[in-house]
Amino acid sequence: MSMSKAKNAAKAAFEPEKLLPIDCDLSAEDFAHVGPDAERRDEIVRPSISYWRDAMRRLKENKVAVACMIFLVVLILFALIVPLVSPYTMSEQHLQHPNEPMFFRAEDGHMHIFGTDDLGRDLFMRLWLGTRTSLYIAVSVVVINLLIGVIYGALAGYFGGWIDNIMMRFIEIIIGIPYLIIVILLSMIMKSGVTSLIIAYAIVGWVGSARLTRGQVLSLRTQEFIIAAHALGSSPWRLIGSHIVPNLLSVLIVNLTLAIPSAIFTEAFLSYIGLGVPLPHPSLGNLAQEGTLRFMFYPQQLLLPAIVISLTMLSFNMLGDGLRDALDPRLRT
Amino acid sequence: MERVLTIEDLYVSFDTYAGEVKAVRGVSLHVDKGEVLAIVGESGCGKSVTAQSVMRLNPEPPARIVYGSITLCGQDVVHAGDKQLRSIRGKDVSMIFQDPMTSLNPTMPIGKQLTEAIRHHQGLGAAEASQRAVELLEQVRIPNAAQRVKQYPHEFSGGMRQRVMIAMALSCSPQLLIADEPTTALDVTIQAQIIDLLAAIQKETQTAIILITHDLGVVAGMAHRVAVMYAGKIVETGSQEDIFYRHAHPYTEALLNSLPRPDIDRSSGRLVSIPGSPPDLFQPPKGCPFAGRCSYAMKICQEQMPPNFPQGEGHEAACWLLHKDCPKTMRGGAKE
Amino acid sequence: MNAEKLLEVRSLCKYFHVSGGTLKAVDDVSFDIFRGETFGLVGESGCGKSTLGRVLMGIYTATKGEILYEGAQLNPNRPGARFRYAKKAQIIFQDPYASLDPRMTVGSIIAEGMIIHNLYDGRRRAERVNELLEMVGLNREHANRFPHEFSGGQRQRIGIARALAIEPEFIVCDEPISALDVSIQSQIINLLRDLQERLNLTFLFIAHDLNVVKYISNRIGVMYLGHLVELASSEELYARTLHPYSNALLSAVPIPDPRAEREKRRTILTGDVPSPIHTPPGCPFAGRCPSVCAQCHSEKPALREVLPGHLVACHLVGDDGVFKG
Repeated sequence: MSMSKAKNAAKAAFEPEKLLPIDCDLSAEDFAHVGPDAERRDEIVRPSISYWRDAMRRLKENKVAVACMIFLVVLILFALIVPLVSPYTMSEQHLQHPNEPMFFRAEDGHMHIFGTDDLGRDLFMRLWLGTRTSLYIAVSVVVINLLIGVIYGALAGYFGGWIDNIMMRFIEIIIGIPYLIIVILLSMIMKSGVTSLIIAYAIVGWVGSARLTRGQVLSLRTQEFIIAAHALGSSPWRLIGSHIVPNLLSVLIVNLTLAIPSAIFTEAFLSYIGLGVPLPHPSLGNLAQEGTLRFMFYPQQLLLPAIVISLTMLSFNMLGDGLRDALDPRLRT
Repeated sequence: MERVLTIEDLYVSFDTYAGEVKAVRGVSLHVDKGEVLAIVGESGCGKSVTAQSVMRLNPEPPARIVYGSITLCGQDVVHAGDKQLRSIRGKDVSMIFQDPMTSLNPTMPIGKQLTEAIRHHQGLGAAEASQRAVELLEQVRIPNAAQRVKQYPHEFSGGMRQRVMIAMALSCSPQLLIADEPTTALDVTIQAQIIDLLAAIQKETQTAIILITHDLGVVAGMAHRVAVMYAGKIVETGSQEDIFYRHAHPYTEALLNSLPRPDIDRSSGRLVSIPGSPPDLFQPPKGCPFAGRCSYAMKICQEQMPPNFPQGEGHEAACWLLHKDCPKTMRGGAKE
Repeated sequence: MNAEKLLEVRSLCKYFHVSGGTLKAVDDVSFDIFRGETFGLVGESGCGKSTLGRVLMGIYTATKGEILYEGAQLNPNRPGARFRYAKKAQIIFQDPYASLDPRMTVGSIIAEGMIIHNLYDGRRRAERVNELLEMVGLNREHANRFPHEFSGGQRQRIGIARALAIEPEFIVCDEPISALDVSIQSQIINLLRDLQERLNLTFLFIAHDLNVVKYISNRIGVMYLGHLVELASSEELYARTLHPYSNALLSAVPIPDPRAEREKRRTILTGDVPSPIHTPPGCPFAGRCPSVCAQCHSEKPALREVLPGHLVACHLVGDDGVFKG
């Protein structure tokens, strides 16, 4: 607000440049020949700023994105620290205090900040441990997908031709298999748990980032700076590693940020229908599932995990949007 | 002589991360009915920004008109509201852009795009509009106009698209046509066609044209008057003959001399060149902006921006060499 | 000038398979480039001049024909050969904005070639980057800046420094000045000529501006629709233009001189360049040629020497080098 006011004031105060009249008197000294000024004419007056620092500057200007980032940091800290310092463990049952309300103080003096569930387990502890599990699954899934996808997509895009053709047909086959079937099949072979969930999702999840990377590489490959590096004799690995990937990073970061919420949602969904993280280990999904059973009487048992899921997804999405704006060179002014 | 456009002391700035970039710094010019004014200058000198300000086409923000007035056919453009601007655009002034590939909507037939503006401004019916579209295409010498109106932009070559753009710009018979580098994106042989077409249409319709270009060859082909811009300022204005044969500003001189002309070849030695690059308008230098690259630069040039010294009827240049007290020995070289 | 052949191009073709047919970007082109000369290549966009330049660089593989460099056949598909050739032949691009990696500093852009070819040790490399920056007229302080901070002319200098870093002997200049401002163009042309003299470079100079090509080249080839239609020394080409297309191209260039421009007799070509996918059977220029005859539509004229050192592909030019249009 104050900035625009200052601008208006500046506008009102603007005075056009005053020039000397054409018949002003000048001395011979003024006409002393100095010639062109080599220092001055090639000077770069703008401050030097790298792409990443410039992007950070723009991200910082985006209030919503900064707020989301702060929220996510706080959320991650809670998820990491609370389970360590809590006086309760995740499966410790207090059968004498089932379904207690929020801020219930037990006889031993400890407080159940979010109350307890029907087995008398501390919900505060379980919620943050569940957040940790969910975030852990989401981040590992996304990172694994991205790694596989980038390597696969970069190779397909870079080599093109029949290699690209075969690799893309393979992707189409994978897309044809519903991931739910893979999860169910895997849960029959493997012990159900966090690892098998990650593996199941990773088997099918990388195709998105592979396609994205391939498209980007295809358009980068025809750029003159890539051709220039090629003309210098650089090997394909060098080309991919030091020119293509650094120029892809911004797109990948945005993609990664936007993929996390969908991974969180998938985990929650799988756990909710009982194919995900096995009880008693909490995750946001199975906490919400348990909460639904008693929603009519103890609504906080569903609302709390639901709020955490929603806010986390919203924050990641808005941060991703902010990053996209900050990293898109077309918006550079 | 009827005045179509008057720009007085125009200042336009862009707000960027590094601060304010002063793209146009005190430009004054005018265009009369039936004349072709060429604005010549290098990229970033503010020639396009000046011309786009006439239509208020610079995105605001980051652009803003800081000071000055623009009067187009008696209307104040600087303080015009959106509604008034819409009625000015197309009807009083229209524009041809550099890139005919991106200026047309690929999903709409040519005829429909051509008549969009007429239907908006003149309220023609569909049948009349399509008749008018055919006439317009004939006016820009497109063969088989009756069939061509039904085709889509991708069925037209670059040169043909630029003709369509010209037809579209002319559709409401504007008072002023702004041609922003109309031939830069085209091939040499197509360029010649388009310049000839523009010159012929200008003669027929007596439309005033502002021709923005960096190509002095194009200027020599069709301009009546020329304004040379450098670093956001007009450094010299005059008739075509004034600029090419009686130029008074060292920048104009250097610009003309640095062109490889057809009568020179490898044996003629080095080309005359202007050392350095134009100043960054984020922090324009004090005094004359060309001083840093000018071989005649004097002490005063680095301190004071020179005013416009009249050099005869309609010809003026902003250079301290033209001051009455400046020793005549400062500038060697014979001039016509 | 010594007449040692550096590069020989023999019946070179480069076709691209596109939807709708085969795009003949370069079709049966033969010429030589001598050591130390500047060979100019002119033509309109889509005539295949840039593709030809990239085939000669080994960036594209030729469909047919052969390229001999210093008498040895070039096969860019063998990785070792491609790598060794890259040390000798370099390229400067048209667009100084797109040809520099936006994420790298100027110093590392220039040093990249030296790293790839493992030239010099780390400290010598940094010195060499500074030398190169000064050689192309920039400051050594510029090494730590990013490409987007420079003006067009300065970026083109960076591109030149990158190409020179590995001390090549042959440089393809692919429209190096088309994207630059007039006052900067002459700087770059002068720089290229100085460097050529100092480092004994051979240039293939691709451009669409005939005046520039005439100024910088010893010999000029005119291309149209993938074909070489005329080849002569630059004085000869201007003094005695034989091919009708070269003629039209020359007269279309606007002269920055209003009086000369008004007096000039101009051949304005009608129509556009035909699509290189469905090429006509006869002379590629037949559809737009002002003096076309029946033979032009049926039979493709061969490039033949009609005067010493002056080659032309046109039915209307007699063996005595006279145009009978």
